[in-house]
Amino acid sequence: MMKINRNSLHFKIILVIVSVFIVFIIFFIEDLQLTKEAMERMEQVKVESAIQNNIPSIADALYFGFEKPIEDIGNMILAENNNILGILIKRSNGKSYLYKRGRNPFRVKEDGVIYKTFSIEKGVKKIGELSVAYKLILSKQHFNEYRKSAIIFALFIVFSIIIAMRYLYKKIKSLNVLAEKLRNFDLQNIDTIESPDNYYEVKYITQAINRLLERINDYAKSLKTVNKNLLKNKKRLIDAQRIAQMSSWTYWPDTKEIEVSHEFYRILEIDAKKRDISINTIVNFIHIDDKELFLNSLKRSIENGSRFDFIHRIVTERGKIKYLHTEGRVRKFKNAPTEIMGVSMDVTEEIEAKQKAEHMAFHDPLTNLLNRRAFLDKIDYLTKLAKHHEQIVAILFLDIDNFKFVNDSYGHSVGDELLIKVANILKSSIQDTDLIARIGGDEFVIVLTDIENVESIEELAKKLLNSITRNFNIKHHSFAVTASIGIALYPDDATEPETLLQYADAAMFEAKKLGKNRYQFFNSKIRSRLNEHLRIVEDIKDALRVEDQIRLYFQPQIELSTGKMRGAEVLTRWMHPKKGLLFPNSYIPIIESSALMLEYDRYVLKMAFKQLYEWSKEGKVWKLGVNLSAQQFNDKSLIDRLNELLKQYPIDPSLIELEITETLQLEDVETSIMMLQDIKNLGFKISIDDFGTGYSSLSYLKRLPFDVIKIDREFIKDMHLDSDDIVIVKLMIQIAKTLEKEVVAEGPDMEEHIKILKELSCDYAQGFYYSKAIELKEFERYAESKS
Amino acid sequence: MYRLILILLMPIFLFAHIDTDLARIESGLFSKMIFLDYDYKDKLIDGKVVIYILYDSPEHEEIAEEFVNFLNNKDVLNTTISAKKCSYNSFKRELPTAYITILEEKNMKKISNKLIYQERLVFASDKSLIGYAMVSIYLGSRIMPIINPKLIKEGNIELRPIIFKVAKVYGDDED
Repeated sequence: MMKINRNSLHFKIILVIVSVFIVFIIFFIEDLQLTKEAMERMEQVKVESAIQNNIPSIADALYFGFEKPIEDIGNMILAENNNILGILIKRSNGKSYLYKRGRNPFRVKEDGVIYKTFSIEKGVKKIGELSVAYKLILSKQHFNEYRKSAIIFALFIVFSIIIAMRYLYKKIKSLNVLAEKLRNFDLQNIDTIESPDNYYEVKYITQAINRLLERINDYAKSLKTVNKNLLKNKKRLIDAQRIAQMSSWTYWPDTKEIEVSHEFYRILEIDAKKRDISINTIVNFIHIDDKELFLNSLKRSIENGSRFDFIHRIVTERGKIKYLHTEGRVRKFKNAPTEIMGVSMDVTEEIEAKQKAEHMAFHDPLTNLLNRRAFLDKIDYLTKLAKHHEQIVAILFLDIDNFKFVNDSYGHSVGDELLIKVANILKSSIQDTDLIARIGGDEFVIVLTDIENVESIEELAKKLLNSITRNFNIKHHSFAVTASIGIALYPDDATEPETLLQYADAAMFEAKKLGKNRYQFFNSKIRSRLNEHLRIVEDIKDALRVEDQIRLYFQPQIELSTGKMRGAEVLTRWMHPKKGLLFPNSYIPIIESSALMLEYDRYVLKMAFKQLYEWSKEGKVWKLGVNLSAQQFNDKSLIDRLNELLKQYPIDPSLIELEITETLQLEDVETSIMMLQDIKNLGFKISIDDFGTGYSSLSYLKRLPFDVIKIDREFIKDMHLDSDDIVIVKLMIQIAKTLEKEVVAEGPDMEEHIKILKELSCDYAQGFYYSKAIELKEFERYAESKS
Repeated sequence: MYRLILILLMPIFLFAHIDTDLARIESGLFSKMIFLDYDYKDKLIDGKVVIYILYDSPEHEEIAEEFVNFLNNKDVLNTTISAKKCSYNSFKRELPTAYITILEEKNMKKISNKLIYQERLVFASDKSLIGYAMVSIYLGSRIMPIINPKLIKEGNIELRPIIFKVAKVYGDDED
């Protein structure tokens, strides 16, 4: 039996039906009552009407003294009305007429008998009265019949209501069945449901439900997709957090609750399954020195509702110190507790890398000493401090003597080891307050701040030299090392750090000039030379900006077999506006020492292109050999530069022979080969200059893409005196021939040289025997004469 | 002239016609009322209802004749009616069942008591003479009998009570 719910439609329909039924019953009973009363009244009226209808006749009969009509009327009334028990007509004079059915009803009044008296009047005069005694028989009979019919009708109605209720119950039950189906609906397997009944409303509702279910199904599918994507994104987020080593967390200060991402546990190196995390746990993980920063930052942010962003350290469960970059913001709500959302990223690697980078930026990676940049920063600070305290600062510029020899002889690894050892010696020789830096290949600078007097500087310089001057055993190589020291003083010599360093360098250079393995204070003579040097540098810079000072000179190359000119090597002379013509030995070393080499090389190369272009316009086809310095060869923009020049001066690139030294390409063989190949690809010729002075192997030479070998003049100049030189030159020529290269002998300056070279089948010669380097016009004339 | 004669003759024609209709109505009514007498059977003559129609003038005789025509040999309640006209002047002492009078008032006045004391119903054809007869006919909005209970009582006649329901009682409201 289903429990009836008061709010159910079923209950309400039953309630309405029962209410209607009760109303119907009440109405029915009331109707019976009214009907009964109405019937009784009708019967009374009928009886009384029968009496009253006859009263005028009776009155007339009485009045006129007729008795028979009275008797007739009385009997007639009795006959016509079964319910009348008796009629008593009394005349005013006392005479009465009684007409009755059975015993006299007027003698003793009986229950259930109605007595009524009517006045008999003639005109306005009462002439008698008529009493009637009657029972309600017809109304009772009719009412009984009516009640019987009504009860049957009522029973029919009740039966109909029961049938209707049963029908309604069945129909409404189908709604409950529908509801039950919906209640037991499997969300995992959404399918349409069948209508539990065939009547329209249930079918319509079922259709609507099925439509809803279809939508729910669609929605569930989309929800599944969204959920799947969410899970995927969550996994991605976890992975991203893992990759980024970033954790997220949310903290509610009011309840002290905290939620952290999985990555947070990993960063703290704790097992998420074994340990519940709280704000106190997190604070305990923070490095003791950073706790105050952490807590204060959070407190301030909570107070101000602002963002926070700071880096702090934590000590993990395993005791490892990590750097976390924590940032986030405080969100205050009107109707919700304050919320702090933050992310903490493990930036340990970045911090350490940054620290390392910072260290590397300011330290020499080989010796771990300060580098030039850090040194300049420090010296700037120290000089300012010295100025404030009126103290002396000494800059000791130390350079290892013949370090190039060590490098060249034993290799760079030995050289590096030597530098480390020297650095350690220097570090151990100075006080903690002193400063030491490596600012170049074998150049160390020591800054002394706590100086009592100049003697103490000298003592330290001596001590340093003594410590360094000894035999070093590095990688099975034993060699003696000395050093030279230049000393400049603040503020006596200079006040600017760069100047002080320059002066110390100059003093060191002076020490080397004086025989090395010594120290030298900066003095006025050095200052003068230095100033002269600086003036020349400025003049060179000016000269390179114009084209008429540093001029191209050409030393012809002659084909030995024919005596004709092959081409020329480009050299320079400086037509100084004040000093007149200067030879390379007076300005090239200065150029090399002042970082102007690349600029000078570019100038020469450009001028050579320009000249060839001029000649090409005149139809003159002469080759020019142009020296490439190490700086220019290693310049990554060389190829672009050559391309630009070719565009600017469209000449045949094969007329340019770029001369590189043998040692130049030895430093990085593979890169050198690639560079040479690129140059060759542009159409230029390549010659190996000063061949024989390096250590090239045949296999190496075989791989080099070059065209010409230029035998160094050292092998030529004594060739007529030393037969060994002839053998060497002969071998070189044979190598060149073997490799199918052309050979140019440099420096022949006498007949014998030419004769020998011809005998050795050398191709070309370039030397004083034929011509020194000559200026343009003279060369053109010479060349034309040798064409 | 002709017209004038016609106009003068019209009422005569009309009255004659009216008298015939009245006679027919009264014949039907009066013949039935005879049977309301409780003692009518005692008053039958040879089993017939014998009605004397009294008249006193030739005009009335014509009317009387009309009555005779209407009543004579008519059966009411299985009883044959026999109607006879009698001249006022030749009034006989023979008792009929009932009288219908078509008389002038003066004649009615004279004969009224004689008739009443014969204990026979006396019908007056003329309603205006109801004061001298027991029953007449009232011609108003409806046609109904008019009875004179006093004379009925004096004639020692009792009529069935139906008469009190259908008849107008003389003396209740005089015209």
